Amino acid sequence: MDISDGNITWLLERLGREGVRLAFTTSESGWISGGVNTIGGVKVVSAATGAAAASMADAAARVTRETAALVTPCRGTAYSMATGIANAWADKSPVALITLLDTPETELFRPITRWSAAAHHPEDVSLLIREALTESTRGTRGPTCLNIHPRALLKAGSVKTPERKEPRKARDARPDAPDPAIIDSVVELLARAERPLVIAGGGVAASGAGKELVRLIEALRFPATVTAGGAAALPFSHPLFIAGPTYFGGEAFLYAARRADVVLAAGTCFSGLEGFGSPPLWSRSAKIIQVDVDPRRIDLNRVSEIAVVGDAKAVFAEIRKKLLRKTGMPDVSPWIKTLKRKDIQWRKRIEKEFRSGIAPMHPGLLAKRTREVLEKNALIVYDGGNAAMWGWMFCPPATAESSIFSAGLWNLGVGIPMAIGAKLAQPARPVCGIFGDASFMYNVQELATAKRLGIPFVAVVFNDSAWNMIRMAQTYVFGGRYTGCDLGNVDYARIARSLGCYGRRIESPDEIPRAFREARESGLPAVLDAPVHPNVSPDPLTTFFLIEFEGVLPDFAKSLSRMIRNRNLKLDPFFRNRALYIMNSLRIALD
Amino acid sequence: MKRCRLRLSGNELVVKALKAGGVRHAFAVSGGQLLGVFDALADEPSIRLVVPRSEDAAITMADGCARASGTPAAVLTTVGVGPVNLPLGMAEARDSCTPVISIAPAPQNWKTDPLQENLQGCCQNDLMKPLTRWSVVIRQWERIPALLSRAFREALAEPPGPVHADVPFDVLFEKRFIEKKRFEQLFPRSKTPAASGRSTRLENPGAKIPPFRGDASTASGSRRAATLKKIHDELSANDLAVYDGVAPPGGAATRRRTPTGKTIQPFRANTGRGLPLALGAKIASPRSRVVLFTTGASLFRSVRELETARAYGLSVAIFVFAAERDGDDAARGVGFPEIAEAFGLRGTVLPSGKKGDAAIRTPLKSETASLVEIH
Repeated sequence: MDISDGNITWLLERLGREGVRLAFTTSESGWISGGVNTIGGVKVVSAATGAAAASMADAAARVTRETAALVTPCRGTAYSMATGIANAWADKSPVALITLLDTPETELFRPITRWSAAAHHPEDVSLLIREALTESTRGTRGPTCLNIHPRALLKAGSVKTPERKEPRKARDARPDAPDPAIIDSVVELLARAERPLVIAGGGVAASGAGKELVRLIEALRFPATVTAGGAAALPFSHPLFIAGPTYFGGEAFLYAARRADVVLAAGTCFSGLEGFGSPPLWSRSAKIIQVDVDPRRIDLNRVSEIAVVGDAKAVFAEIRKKLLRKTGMPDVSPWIKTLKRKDIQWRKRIEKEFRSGIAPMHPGLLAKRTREVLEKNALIVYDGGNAAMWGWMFCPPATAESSIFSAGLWNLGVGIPMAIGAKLAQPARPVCGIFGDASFMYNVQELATAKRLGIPFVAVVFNDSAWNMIRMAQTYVFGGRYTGCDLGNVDYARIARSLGCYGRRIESPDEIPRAFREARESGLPAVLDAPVHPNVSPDPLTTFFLIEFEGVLPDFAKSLSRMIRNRNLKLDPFFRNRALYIMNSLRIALD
Repeated sequence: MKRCRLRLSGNELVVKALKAGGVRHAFAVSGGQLLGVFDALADEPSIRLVVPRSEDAAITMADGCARASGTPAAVLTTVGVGPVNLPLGMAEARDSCTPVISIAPAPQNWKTDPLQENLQGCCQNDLMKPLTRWSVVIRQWERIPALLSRAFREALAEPPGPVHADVPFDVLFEKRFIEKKRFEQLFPRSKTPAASGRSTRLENPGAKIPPFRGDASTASGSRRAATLKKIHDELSANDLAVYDGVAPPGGAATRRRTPTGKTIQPFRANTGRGLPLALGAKIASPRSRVVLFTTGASLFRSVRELETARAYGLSVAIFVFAAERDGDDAARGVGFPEIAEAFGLRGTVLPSGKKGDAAIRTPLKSETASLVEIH
């Protein structure tokens, strides 16, 4: 059963009338020409693979906070889109997948979508499209999947559908204002706090409540941080931002989390990267105020003192209103000073390593120099293991809504399509990707897509020739027995050039400003391949392993005995600093 | 009487079960929770560990390996991100009836059912169910041997197909003492696939290349068919041909059935599977010549795996019919010889005339992977 161009145009126009502005498909569908097409008010773009198309849609949805559509008539493409859909599900990103298959794959997509349905009859099509889009932005948001049977699509255009008077808006589905009595108790608890901490999660970013949160912390004069999923919620350069996201922020965050007596946790339910809100990362005695739009996420991992069900933006506004009338708020400036001091001490210790002159260069130095040459409003995509950690530590986003990271699944390889999706959604902003060498390769073919679409961005590849998070775990947990972790000497800049992009190898940090300048002047997608020292490990890696391996003890005796006998052991050249971080973390946890 | 006891982790049990199931190749992309299995694999010389550049390629390389060898191959991926990258390859293995054994760690038992927003946590078993013949969560250390043995039986039962097992990684890292005698009773004694009650090869080694069904390209179809014929004239019965986006030639085009090598094709229109299928097949049959016929767009979808070909020294001959399939412009304007050389492989454009005949023979004789672009 052949779907005609007219049917596709009708579908895209339908999506456009429902408020969709960006739609993604793959070149297999053959519907659109190579560039950016606009059909029915919807910008339509084709990627080389379904996985990439889905990640593009995911990024566009994160940046715009509006639903992005994915459309495919190919079963194989639909299967490959599962990767990006799963990421959107884990990070609660509003993506609507519309498949045009004669037998639906709803069973496959059910575990990774928040809503799935199949339209078998022409009269169902328009209404189910509307429902798919509405569901994607309802409550905690997330991806939806609708299969439209080709036979139903052929006739759907002839069915009259009641039109909306105005385009659908993502905020349609937000709940009512929170209970004033609960807000009163929140204000009371905040007023008693001596060592408060505000932590903003993905819900704050999704709600667009960042500015309201800044107003709130400024009114309270409380220190704040973000979760990995909510990194877009706050500007990292704000004076009240202490460190983050979560433990990527190092010792200041560890100290704040362990010592805080009142924690206002908004749009987060303390996921794995937040240590489940429990010891050893968090204090058991801290009083938690949890704000979440979804009642099912309240107390999911950590029982709260006060739970507020509501949209973060509305809740922040209500709290601030009541605070303005409140007198006798505590002065927590000594607490903030302590946290800031911890942050400076920790950073200085690592930055001292940058001056050691090791070769290849220190990955932290590469991140720091990259931040120095990036524009303040640059949107940064983090894609990697250790590379992402170094990026968060020394190349953080300067402003709010300026970062994208697959925090829920930490799925390597989504960076290139995400950079493309983000740039399509916000063409005026510079986009930069921080990549590990392993993650860079996953979707390397999409560099040609970026070239075809005329989308420039700069990808900095932290090339340590290894799956290095794994390699470091093999060093310290498996006694240096390296299995399946080496990547060899690959010239990523040359691969980029062969795909028609700008590519340059960076051997020294001094080359970074010039390389960035040339990359921008080329007007092409650009790859800066920077070899970094493979043995320097980011401090937060230890915390990551401790939390992820909670309750699971590797055989340390075996590991130690192997380490002693292993002559090929690749220890960190700054091992003393890593040991100091572990000691300090233990001291913070045990004090 | 002195009793002989062993102390084994779940990781070691998984590897023993793979060995007992006749697995000789494990295709894997690592993750922290999978490291114990990697470590146990380092102690098991009979299983070769191959690490490609993505999970999507790992499953399809396992597929190609199983199709070429006639024995099950394993794919090992980490929590969450592993299984969510598998659906396309898993569907390909399911539709092509290939016994691939997929194993992925899951979050600790006490953090699942329901999930607690764990990092990388997702309902991976539910995701795998519609794509596999059988999918299971192994929640206890002592059930690893029995359930993985069952996985092999399910994978090899007629018609064969892929299976998936989630093992929470607290189970993988759990260590227990077991008496040696009892341990020996846990696994089937005979070599699989006989152990699973099935010993037939998955593909008929003598299968003829099927009749020509028409090339995907219309504009240059006749020249393409002539080139295909020339290449096939160079092939022998021991060779293995993989077709991806290019229909195998045969009677209609060449007017005779020429070579009698084995053929592998992606099921339906799953373009882009060809390169990992060919690499998997080459790993299974290192002495066979493996030839990949593919379109530009199809190769482009897995182009990163050229690096896997280089890293493992897999001498696959790749013939790229570069003119795009109708409407598929994924690789429009891309020069594959340059790409191949950027990946450290040999790449050329097929010249016309007698020079072209020589250029066809070069990759077929090459000791490394090499690529010929045909216009």
